[in-house]
Amino acid sequence: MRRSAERYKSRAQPRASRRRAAQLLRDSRLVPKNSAQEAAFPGFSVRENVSLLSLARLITDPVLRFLRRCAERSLVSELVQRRNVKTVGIEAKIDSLSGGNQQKAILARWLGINAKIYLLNSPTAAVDIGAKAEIYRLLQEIADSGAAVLFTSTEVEEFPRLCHRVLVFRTGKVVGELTGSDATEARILGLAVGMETEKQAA
Amino acid sequence: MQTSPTDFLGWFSRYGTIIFLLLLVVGFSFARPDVFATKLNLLNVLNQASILLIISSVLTVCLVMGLFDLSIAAMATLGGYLVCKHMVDQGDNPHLWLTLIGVLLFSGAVGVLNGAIVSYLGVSAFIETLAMGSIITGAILGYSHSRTILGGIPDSFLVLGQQSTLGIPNPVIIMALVVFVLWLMLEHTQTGRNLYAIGGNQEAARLSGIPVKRYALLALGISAACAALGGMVAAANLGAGRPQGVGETYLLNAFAAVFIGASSLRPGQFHILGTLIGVLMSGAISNGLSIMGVETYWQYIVQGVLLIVAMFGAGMVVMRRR
Repeated sequence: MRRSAERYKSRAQPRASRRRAAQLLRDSRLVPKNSAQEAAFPGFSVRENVSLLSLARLITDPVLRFLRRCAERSLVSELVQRRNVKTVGIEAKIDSLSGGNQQKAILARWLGINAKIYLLNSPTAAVDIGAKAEIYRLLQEIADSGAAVLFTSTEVEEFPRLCHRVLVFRTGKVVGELTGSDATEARILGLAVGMETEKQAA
Repeated sequence: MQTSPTDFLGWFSRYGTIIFLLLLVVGFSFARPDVFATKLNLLNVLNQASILLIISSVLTVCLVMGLFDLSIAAMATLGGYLVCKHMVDQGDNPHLWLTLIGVLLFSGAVGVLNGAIVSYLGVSAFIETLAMGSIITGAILGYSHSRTILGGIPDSFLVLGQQSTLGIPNPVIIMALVVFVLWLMLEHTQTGRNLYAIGGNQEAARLSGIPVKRYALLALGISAACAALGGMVAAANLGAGRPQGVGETYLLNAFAAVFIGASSLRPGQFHILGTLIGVLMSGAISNGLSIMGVETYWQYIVQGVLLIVAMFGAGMVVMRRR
C-alpha cells in the first residue's frame, strides 16, 4: 500500500499536491473484500488473524522483533469484544466462524491500527443482516473518531443511512454525485440504471 | 467432544507421530537394552541426525512461506567445500571464524539472489531453486576440478564435526542452536508471523501491507546460509571437502521429515517442532533397525510407508476442517 503511492504520482500535478496525494495514500488503509482470497488466513487462529496489522506495536524492539504475547492476547481480546465477534475464544480457527463474524474479525484487524482514511471494498457483501447492522455501526464509529471512510457497495439502501456523499457508477464510469439529503435510494437507483442523468440530478 | 472415526483420525494424526516415536524408542530399548538405550547410542542418533535436522529446519522456514527450496542440497555441498578449500589455501594460520562467516555470507547472498529471481522475475521457486542447485553443483565441480580436499584441513575446523563439548558432540550443539534460533524466529517474532501469513494466504498478506516479495529474499537467504552451515558440519564430520553429493543425501530425507512434521501437532502447518519430531523419527528408525540387524533396504521402505500414513492422517484433518 505505502509504496504504491508512487504509482499515483502524475506529472501534471504540481509538486506540493503530488506530495499531498502521496501522504494521503500513506495515511489510508485498504480493507479488502471479505473473501477467502483477499482477507482471511484460513487455518490460523482468530488471534493471528486479528493481530496481524498491529504486530508493529507489539514488538519488543525493531531489530529482533520479538512479539509480546500477553500484549497481543489482551489487544485481540479487546478488539474482538468491542467488535462483538462471536467466537468460542481467540484461539479458535478463523474458519470456524460464520461469514459475518469472520468479516467483523477482519475489520477488527484494521481497527487495531489508527488510519486516517479507510477504504473498504464491499464490507457488507455476503454478510447476514445482524452482522451488517454491526458493520454499519462500526463504519459510523470510525467516522465519528475523525477518520474518513470510503466504501463501495451494491446495496443501495446502505447509502442514505451512512453517507455524506455518494458517487454512482454505471458501466465503470461515475455518472453522478449526490450529497446529503439528495442521496435517496430512488435517485441513486435512477442514476445507476440510467433513468436519471447527472444534469437532472444537479 | 463426540467420538467419530474422523475425530479419532484427527487425534491420531496430531499425536500419532509422537506416540509412534515414543513406541519406537521404547520398543528398540526393550529389544536391545544393551545397545539402543545407552547414552552413547542416543547421542549417536542425535549426532547422525544433526545435519539432517539443520537442513530440515531451513526447509521448514521456506515451506512456511510456501516456497520450495531445492538448492539447499547443492548449497550444503558448496558451504562444506568452500570452507575446506579456503582453510587449506590459507596455509599455516587460517582464520577459522573469518572463513566460516565469509562462506556463510556468500551462500546467504546466493540465497538472496534466488529470492530476487523468484520474486522479481516471477520464476516459480521450485524450478528456480532446482536450476540454481544445478548451477552451483556445476560451479563447484569446475572450481574444484572434481578433486576432493583430503589433507591439510586444520583441526580447528574439524573440531566442529568430530569433537564433543561437555560430553555433547559439537554437531548436536550447532544443530540445537540453529533449531532454537529458527524456532524463535518463526514462533516468536513479527518476521515469523508474517512468513506464516504469506504461506497462509499470499494475496491477503499483500493486501495487509506485508512486503511479500522481500520476505522471499529473507527466507531463501536464511535457508541458503543455514544449509551451507549444515554442509560445513558435514564436511568437518567427514574430514574432507567433497565437491559433490554432500547435501544431496539429505534432501529427500529432509522433505520427508518436514512433511511428517507438518502432519503432527498442528496438522497442515509446517513448524520447527514437528520437523524435530520427523527427523528424530527417521533417525530412530534407521539407527534402531540397523541395531536390530534388519537389512538396510527395509529402512527406506519403512520411512516411505510412514510418510504416506502421516500425510494421510493430516489430509483427513484438513479435509474435515473444510
